[in-house]
Amino acid sequence: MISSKKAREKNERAPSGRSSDVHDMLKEPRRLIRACPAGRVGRLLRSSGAILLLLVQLLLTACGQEPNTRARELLKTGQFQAAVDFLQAELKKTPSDIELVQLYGLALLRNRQPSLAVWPLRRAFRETGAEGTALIPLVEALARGGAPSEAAELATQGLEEDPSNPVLLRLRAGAHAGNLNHDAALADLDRLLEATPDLLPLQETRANILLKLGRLEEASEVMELISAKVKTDQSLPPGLKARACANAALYQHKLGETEAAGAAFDACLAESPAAQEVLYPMIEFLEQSNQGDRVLDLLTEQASLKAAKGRLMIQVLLAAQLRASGQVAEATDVLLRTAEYLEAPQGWLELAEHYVSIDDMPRAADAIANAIALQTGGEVGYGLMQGEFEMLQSMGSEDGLFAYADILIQAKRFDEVRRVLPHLSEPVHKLLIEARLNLAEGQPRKALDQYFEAFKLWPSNPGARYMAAVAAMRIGEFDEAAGLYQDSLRSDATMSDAGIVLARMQLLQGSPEGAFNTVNLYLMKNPGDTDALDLIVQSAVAARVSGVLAGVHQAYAAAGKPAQGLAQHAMALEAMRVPKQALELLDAEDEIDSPEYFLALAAWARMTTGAGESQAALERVQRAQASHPESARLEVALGMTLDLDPERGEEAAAAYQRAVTLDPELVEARVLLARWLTSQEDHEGATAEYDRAAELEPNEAEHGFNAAVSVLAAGQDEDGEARLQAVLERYPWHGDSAAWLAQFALQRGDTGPETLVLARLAARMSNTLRPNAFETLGLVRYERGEMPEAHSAFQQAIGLQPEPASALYHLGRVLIAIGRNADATRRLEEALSANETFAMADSARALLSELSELEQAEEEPIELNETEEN
Amino acid sequence: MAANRGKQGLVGLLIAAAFLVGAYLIWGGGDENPDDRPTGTVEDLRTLRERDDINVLFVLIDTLRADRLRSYGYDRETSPALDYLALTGIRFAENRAQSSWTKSSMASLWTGLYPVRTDVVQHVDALADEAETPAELFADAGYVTAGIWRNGWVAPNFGFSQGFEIYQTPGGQQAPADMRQKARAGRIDGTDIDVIFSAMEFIRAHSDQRWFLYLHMMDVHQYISTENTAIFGNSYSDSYDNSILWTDSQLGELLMALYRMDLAKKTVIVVASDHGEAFGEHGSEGHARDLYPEVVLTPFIISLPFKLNPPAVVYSRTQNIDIWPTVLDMLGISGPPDVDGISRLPLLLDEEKDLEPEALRARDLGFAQLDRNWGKLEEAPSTIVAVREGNLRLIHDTDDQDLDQLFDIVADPGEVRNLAESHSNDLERLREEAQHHLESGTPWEGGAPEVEIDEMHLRQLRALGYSVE
Repeated sequence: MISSKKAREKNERAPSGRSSDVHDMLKEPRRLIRACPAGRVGRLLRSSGAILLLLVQLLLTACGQEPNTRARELLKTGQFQAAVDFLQAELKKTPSDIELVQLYGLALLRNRQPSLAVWPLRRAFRETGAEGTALIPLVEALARGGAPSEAAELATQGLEEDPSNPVLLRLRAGAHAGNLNHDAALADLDRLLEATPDLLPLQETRANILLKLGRLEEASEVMELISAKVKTDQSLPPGLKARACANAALYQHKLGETEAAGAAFDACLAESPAAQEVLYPMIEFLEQSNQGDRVLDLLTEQASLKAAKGRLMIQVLLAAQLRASGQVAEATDVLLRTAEYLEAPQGWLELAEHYVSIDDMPRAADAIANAIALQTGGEVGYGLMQGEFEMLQSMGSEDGLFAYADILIQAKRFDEVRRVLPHLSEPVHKLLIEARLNLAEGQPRKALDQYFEAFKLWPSNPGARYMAAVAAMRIGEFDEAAGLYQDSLRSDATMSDAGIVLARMQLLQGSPEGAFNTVNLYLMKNPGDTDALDLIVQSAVAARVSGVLAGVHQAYAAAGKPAQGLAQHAMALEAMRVPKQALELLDAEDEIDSPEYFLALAAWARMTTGAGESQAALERVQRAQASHPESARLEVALGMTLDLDPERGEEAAAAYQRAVTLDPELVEARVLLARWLTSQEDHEGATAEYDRAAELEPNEAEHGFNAAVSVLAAGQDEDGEARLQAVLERYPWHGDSAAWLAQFALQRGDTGPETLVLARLAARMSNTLRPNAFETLGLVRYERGEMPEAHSAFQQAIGLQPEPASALYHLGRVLIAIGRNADATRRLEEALSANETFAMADSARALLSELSELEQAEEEPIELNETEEN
Repeated sequence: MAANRGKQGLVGLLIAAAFLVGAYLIWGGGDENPDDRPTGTVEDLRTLRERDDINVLFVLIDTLRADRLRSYGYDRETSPALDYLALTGIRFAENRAQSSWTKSSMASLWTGLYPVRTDVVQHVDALADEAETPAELFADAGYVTAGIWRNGWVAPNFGFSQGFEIYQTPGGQQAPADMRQKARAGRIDGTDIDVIFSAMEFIRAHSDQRWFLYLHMMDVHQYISTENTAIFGNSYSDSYDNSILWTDSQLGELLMALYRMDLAKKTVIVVASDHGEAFGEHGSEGHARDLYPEVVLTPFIISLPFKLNPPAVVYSRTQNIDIWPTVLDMLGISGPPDVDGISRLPLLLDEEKDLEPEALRARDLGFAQLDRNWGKLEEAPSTIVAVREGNLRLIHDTDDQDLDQLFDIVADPGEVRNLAESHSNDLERLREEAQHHLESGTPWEGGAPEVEIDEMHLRQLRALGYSVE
């Protein structure tokens, strides 16, 4: 409630007339001096009383130097910040001068500081009341300054005095609408329209509010009125006419008259071809009325019109539709032609965005370069000249330059990045680009340091946190990396797969509870992400928590993947050794014989076979497949069931082959076929299948890894190693790849820091090769002379290996190296006892013999024979 | 904090020299301390209700956990201004919020009622008009009342503007450009500079009137800091500390303005928070997901129109619902009857010894509550209730009481060792207490009204990082 003091108080104040001002100034020459901008005039004023009076009069004429006059002048000439500064200084001297207080509020309001203007204007209003002039600016300040309720309330007070004041009515209508008080807003609009019934924007607002209130018939009447006005008034601008036409059509749709709405939209387009005012709402209408398949045709048709040639957004919409329907080349063509035709930066930027979305960074970089060249008056196709960077920078395109540099790095055009770098003016931008550049150029430690520095200035940049995590992984700071992935996730879980990566790392490191929490956090912002749901299931299985599975099953269903949910649920129960429950769950599903449920059916067949009813299992799958002979999925289910019988491998393979033929994009078929080919030592064939699977599922690391292993199995070590490096580059947590790479490095005698990082990563996060990974790590440590660490690694290898002869042997060597000969003897004997013919058995015996001699001779520790295993 | 737990029930008095440290921290060593408030003792609290010139500044720092402030035992200098207030005033050493979600927590803070009694537990719930808020009481007592807020959960349509003459959310860019840092962390408009500048203009315009001003600051919630205040490191947790230092520096600016305008001598400043922030201590991040200590232990500091010498530290456990009963009691303003919060003024004045056993027991019992499905209208409530009695704290899960957790908050302040199995009698007793608590209702008919949230408001709330459907 805003109240005001009444006139009695105001009348007691001295009237603010010019003569009074002159009188005051004569009494306060110093105040006058401060008000005048010229200091030299002030010095003169102090020189003589007689001259003083003359000069005062001169000053009053020359620079109008009463503070309120000067403030008004500043306001009148648009110097709002200067007015704010001036009045702040004045108010320090005379804080109770209400006229100055009000002017100060006005200055803040005009200086786009309405939230600040509220307070002095409120004070002025309280002092001067409704009779003063503070009311309307205060209402405006409240409405624009974040207090619409109070604006409405105060406007109401003002309207009690002046009921038809259009400014107050408008302000109040807006404030009511902002407060969702639609009835009150409508009442104010009606009053405004009484005076100006032809004002179309007001009528449109009225129709909107009527619609929100559910008063559809009245809304319809208003729309008819608008339509009539649009048709008859030739003076209306085309954009306004098109918008009004589209709104009328949209109203038909909102009234439930879909057919009429469609016809109305068609009519609008006939009247205003390619008008975005019609096109956008029409697309919205088509999508809402289940006619989304018409959008591409509509856009294709409209974009081909002559009128559409220069309309970028239509072409952008068309390109987006084309891209979504898999016609990427066509989308590129549309945007490229548009950019070339428009010769405007925005056209090239849209093209760049398109290239980024299809991961074509070199072309994205080219497109941005063209945009920048046009922005700065250059020509397209020549890259950027030095002066253009500076011009761009001076035009305030720092963010654009930053994005450009980032894309250049992704396009691996590092020299160009170095040209851009000096022109980035924000330190944090420069740091982030330098960091990413260093990471791309193989300097992860330096990159990480720069990222850390940048986080102080931009702590919640999820992308930078992610890249810093990658840098930390590369230097073996795995815990740091986990923290950075976690930070990226909490900063913005939708920006990257940080949650998935971290959860995988946690699972691999034996922390299913941590993985569970991580994926939960990820799923809050990415509901329905099936990779995440798969991980939740894996975490639950690892943590032996079956209680969550039903909920996860529902989440799959909510994501439109009920068949996948059922299969995952059942397989999780099977893994938790409750196959009876799993079978009951599968039996309860009526659709299990349909193609979509092929994995669930295969799981059912496996469990039924496990229960001793293999024939019944196979017959059911065969029946299902026979019912859908064209289903690749059911061929896969059949193959998986046949595969359960070791005698029917070839039949299974034939089923997989048929599945691949029927549906070349069915990943499961490719992977199962690849496995069979591997079993037949057809490594080339397996590699091809895994490669195709990797193309189809780019987020799945195992396909690329398996392809690399197949290549290695074919004896192509160089290619295999390169492939493993590519897998690790893309999936920095992939311990199995690291295990192989560490082994290769060790074989080459490379035990440098990078090999150590690989070996440590493998020991921490290898999925299938961990026992060997610990042995490799031990060997790397041993070669580096890091005996305590080598000792620990071999001990862990011994704990994990079913047949630890080799690890025991190496542990024995470590013990010799640190002078614990008795322990070494024991370990070497254990090695031979575990396997008396293992690869280093002869070496072990030789060492034992030497140790025995040494013990008898009580000599110094022996020198090691280090040739055999390295 | 842990070291102070042995002194529960006492008002601890720190040595006077301590506040000189705070003064040094806030103004730096070289300048003269502009704080020329007179010195007083706890006994002088009795004089406040006689005065008719007292302003009240309530600073709510969203998402501020107590243990990240130096005055609460943190080892980093995150909070020189707040520490100064604590070292010249009253610090409540172990204070808990009533929820870890802003709206529910603030409804309780303002009304002195537990969430079960405000019924503000879902995202469409609003504080009922029948609720009597401090702003209304101050307005009735002749104060000019204003609120400046930046968190959409305390928007006027949720009933939080009750009693404020003007309840403003300042637009971005209100502060001068040269004061402004690019708000990199924030996805909401503006920063707390806008709040502080608006507050300064309010105070400037009303310096000759009696006022109640509520500032709801959000930069800690948004992890905003500047180059100068980003000094603690680069992890997310470090960034949180950086943002506390930044917010503290803004508060320091406001304090300086109060001192310059000679208003500190007639202003009571209350500092609190709605909830804390988790950094994976119990597996979750952020807040509004559970009721562990990292999200409910919040600061509560009162600065007086005089420098309290020696300063007071209250080791008795307090709650956010005690804040206004305490402050209103100090100022001699009658609060609403039948609230759950209690005035801690008798404790400060050493008058609690005269209380009846039942009243003393009530002082040793506290609740917090969260509906984990507060943002999901389609789903059934999933309520957890924390019951604290003596040294025990139960977190009761109404979905599945097998998930109930019991902690000894003295031996295990981080609440990591679940005693549910070994203390079955205590578990059962506190579980019954929780269930009984949940049977309470609002003091008025009809519970919390539900409001319509338009898409724009939903977008603003989502921009804060909340999942609202």
